[in-house]
Amino acid sequence: MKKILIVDDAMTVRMYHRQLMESMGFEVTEAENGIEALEKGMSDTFDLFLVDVNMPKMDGYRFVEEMRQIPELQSIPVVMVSTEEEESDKEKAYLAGANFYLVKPAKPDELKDYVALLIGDEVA
Amino acid sequence: MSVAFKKTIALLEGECSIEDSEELLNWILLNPKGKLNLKKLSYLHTAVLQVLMASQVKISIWPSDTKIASWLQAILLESK
Amino acid sequence: MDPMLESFIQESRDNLEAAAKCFLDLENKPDDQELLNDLFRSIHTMKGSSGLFDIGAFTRVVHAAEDVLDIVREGKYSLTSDDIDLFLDSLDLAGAWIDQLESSEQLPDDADSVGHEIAEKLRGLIGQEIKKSVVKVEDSKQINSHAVTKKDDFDDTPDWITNIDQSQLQKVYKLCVQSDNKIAVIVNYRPDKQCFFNGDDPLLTVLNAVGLHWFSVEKKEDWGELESLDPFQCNINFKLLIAADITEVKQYFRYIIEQVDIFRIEPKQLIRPVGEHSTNDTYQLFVSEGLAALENNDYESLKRLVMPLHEIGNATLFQTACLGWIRTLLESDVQDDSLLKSLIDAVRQGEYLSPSLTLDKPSEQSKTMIEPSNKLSASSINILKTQLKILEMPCPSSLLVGRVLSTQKIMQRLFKTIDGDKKLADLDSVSKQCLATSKCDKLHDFLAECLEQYENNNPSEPSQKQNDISISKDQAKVTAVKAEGKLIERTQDLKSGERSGIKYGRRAGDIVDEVDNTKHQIKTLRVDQERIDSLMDLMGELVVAKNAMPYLAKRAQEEFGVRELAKEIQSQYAVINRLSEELQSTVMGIRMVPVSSVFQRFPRLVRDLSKRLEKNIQLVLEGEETEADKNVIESLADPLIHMVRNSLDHGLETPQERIAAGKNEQGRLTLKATPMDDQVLIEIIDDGKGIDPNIIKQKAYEKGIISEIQLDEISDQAAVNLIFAAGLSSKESASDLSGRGVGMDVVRSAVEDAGGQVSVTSVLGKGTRVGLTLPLTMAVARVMMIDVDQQTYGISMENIRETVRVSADNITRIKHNEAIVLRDKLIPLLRMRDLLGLQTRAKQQTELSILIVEYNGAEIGLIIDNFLEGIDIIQKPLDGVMGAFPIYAGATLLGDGRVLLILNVLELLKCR
Repeated sequence: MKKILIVDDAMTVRMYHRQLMESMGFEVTEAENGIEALEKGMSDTFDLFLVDVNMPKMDGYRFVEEMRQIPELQSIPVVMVSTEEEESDKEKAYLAGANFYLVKPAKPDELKDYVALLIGDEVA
Repeated sequence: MSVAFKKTIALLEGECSIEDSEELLNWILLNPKGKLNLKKLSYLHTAVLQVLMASQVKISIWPSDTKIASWLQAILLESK
Repeated sequence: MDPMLESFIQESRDNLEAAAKCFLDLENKPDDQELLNDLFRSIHTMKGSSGLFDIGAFTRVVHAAEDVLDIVREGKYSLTSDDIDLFLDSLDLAGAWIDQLESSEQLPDDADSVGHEIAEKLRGLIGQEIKKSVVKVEDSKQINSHAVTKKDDFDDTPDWITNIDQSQLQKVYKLCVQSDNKIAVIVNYRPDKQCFFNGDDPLLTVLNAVGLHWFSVEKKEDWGELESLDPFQCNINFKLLIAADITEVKQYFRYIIEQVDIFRIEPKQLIRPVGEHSTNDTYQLFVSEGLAALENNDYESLKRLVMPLHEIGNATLFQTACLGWIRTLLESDVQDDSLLKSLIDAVRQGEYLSPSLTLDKPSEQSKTMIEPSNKLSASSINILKTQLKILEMPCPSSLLVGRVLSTQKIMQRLFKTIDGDKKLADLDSVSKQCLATSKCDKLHDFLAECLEQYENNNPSEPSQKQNDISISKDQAKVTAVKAEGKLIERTQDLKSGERSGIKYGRRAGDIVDEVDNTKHQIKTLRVDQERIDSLMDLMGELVVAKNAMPYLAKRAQEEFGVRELAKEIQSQYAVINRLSEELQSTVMGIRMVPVSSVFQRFPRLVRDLSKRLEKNIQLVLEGEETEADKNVIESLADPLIHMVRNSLDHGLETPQERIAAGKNEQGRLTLKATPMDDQVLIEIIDDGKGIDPNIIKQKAYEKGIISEIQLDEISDQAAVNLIFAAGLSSKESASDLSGRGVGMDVVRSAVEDAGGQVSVTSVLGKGTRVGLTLPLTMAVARVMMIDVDQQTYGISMENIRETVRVSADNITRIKHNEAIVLRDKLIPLLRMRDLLGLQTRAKQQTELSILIVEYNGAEIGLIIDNFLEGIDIIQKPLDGVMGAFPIYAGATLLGDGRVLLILNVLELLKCR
């Protein structure tokens, strides 16, 4: 089963993402901030990270920058999810190491579409 | 200004903008039995359309532009 | 209560409390950055989460608060005590709303107006207008309902479809069935109530929508009393039926994407005949005849049955609608018998049952369900394009590995769904290169290439197939989650399963076409010559590198005394040598073009020229298929034209002259190409009047090219060869010479530059033959290494006729010159040391090493110290000071690192 790590400080958003991801048949782990995400990320192997930008302790940009330098994590695709929709915000995310950017709240089918493709949910 | 008001007839001509909607509404309120002449209408803003729908004002002459006439008729006649 | 709403309520209370505390602290420490950050985050989190629910007023307020705090955080605005009061009021309001949400799951009725007001006040602090914030709030209800019920795609045709005029539906059906990229799309457009203030005009948006076929308008809420109508609040929603490319539709609505729901709908789902059922017997008759025709797949007869009945039928009748659909189906390319049958049945029953409703076989169910969705492909492309953009961005070295690996992983996953494993190996090697070079450029270029390919290869077709399956699988899961397993949903899946059967067949055909196309493309692959040149250069380097191995073997044996290793190196060398030779010939092969590419211009040239000169000349081309390196062939073009012109001008006679000379009236010019091992021989032969050696001799003497002695001694052949001497040929002399001579020295140097040689033979009165020998390729040259005064030089094998060792006794002296007799031929000898201007004399040797070279058609022997082995080299031209000495053709690097000078024997002999 494909595994996703959802990183967001908002419980409600995590729940929303969890519901969607679980409905697609993925196994979900949650983290509330970047530091927790790094810890959890190292403790298991994930296929995709779904990461919020604005978080306490360690924000999304920092987190991606960190994980891109950790051999065990650096190759995992990252989708940034943020309420900001400016092009400059997206670019900042890409520069930090994100692979894709979705504006929050993402529509369910949009989110599912992209996640399915990014996670490589191949046909058995 | 693309709306001209006569005693019992309001003329909507050319493109009716959002500003026209309020004026038109006021006229309809004052002349509940008034009718609209849309002969030379080429376009109307959503807000104006709303007024037509809500007031169910009678149309004396439909637009000569058949394209507009057809969808406008469909909308207004159906909403009745 | 919905657990997500519950979570939101709880979370928001925490955040509101935290925010309130921050504001109170801020009053004492207004510039505390950390405090501001915490505060901002609390508000931001609420904004983000509230977007998931239909509580626009709440979102609007926290969004306004967030925007203000962002400015404050950046230090561009400081909060006053009054400002903080306003914020605290806002928080109280939000808190009250949260309570209300908990009790009634909705905001109070006045929330919109109150929220609007307070948001405006907040924004007023930083002088921002309210409008901006409205855009984001919109119809979040839609998102919420999705999130909670997981209902994400359109399963069933909405009933309002039946409101649409049947003929309009049929038109859309036809369009979608007949076009590969047009899809029937239903759009529910719910404009935001405040949208007029953003300058939106929803009606205009609808009317301008791409591929719009039908739309309807309905009120959001009852209009209520006309007196209280606010015309500036948008109170209408739209429904649209569109036939277009779904990506275009999405593109069109992108600015108001939150206000629209876009659904794909199968053409088949449009078939919704409605009307009044007639009991007229004519229809029953049609049913029996129609079914019979259908049974026999006799669509023509069916059409004939339908047409009149459809045309005379009352448009309001159900039967007429059915007949219209049958007609539409028959007029589209793809016939679907089950649909036709259902429609004919409908004519009888007065009710249309879509065929899949009657099918309930498990085998059908297991079939993959395919949703035709350009949407997916668009997402894939979007993702890939994003990766492309990422790879273009500057990258700190610490993040490079992560960037390469993560983008690679994404590409891997997507490529797999698009075209299987085809590109994975390449992708792997490209990213390895990137990691090795610490640059993203290779991966970027590779991705760009793939993207171009996907986009050009009609992305919605074969590449789509696998995507489709993946979404359908996903959909299957969703359906399963829907637990209730409503019959309608299952049958829906069945419908799509069945329709996939049809589509699939069609698509398989397309794929076959595609494959055929690629085959054709491979036949004529166009490659930038630069790439082949660089391949050639690399290959040359390899040849040189390979040459190092024998040295290595020699050292292993002689210096280190490991014979075994030396042997192994030798045998490895043999392998590499063979491979590099194969590689060489393959690369050469790529560059080979037939001489016909040069020859083909001559028929026209000869025809035009002979007409102008009033000569009757037949051109014969032979061996046009002979191939040589492109550069060689190109270097051949100008000399050939020159010589052909000469033949026509001066060689071949007019018909009168020919008849007088007892020749055929028609002159004959032959261009002939003959492959000879690693060379190609091009001959230009005419049967004209030939060259008179005496005139040449005389002319050469007059021009000071030959001395008086030479004038007496020179052989006729040598005299003819003088036409190549520089200075002999010039415009004015051309007319004097009863043969050729115009620019023959130019021809010679051009040919020699290409590494070839030119020779001429002529028989007076009979004709002339000019032969050009050219190397097949100019890239790799084979040279013989020679030893002169302990210095090694290279001489191109093309110059060497043969090598002989003769006893010193065999040398004969003729006047001041030395010569030997070889096979009854007297060959003049020259000493290489003299030619090179070396002062030292060679040791007295009993046996002399002699290179026999050809110079101006004559053989000359060069005495050298010793012959060494022959090697393949890539000759590099000399530049700088050395470039000024034409006796050196170039230089190359030897396997042991020494530089080998290549002698230009022809130049060397000129200097004598």
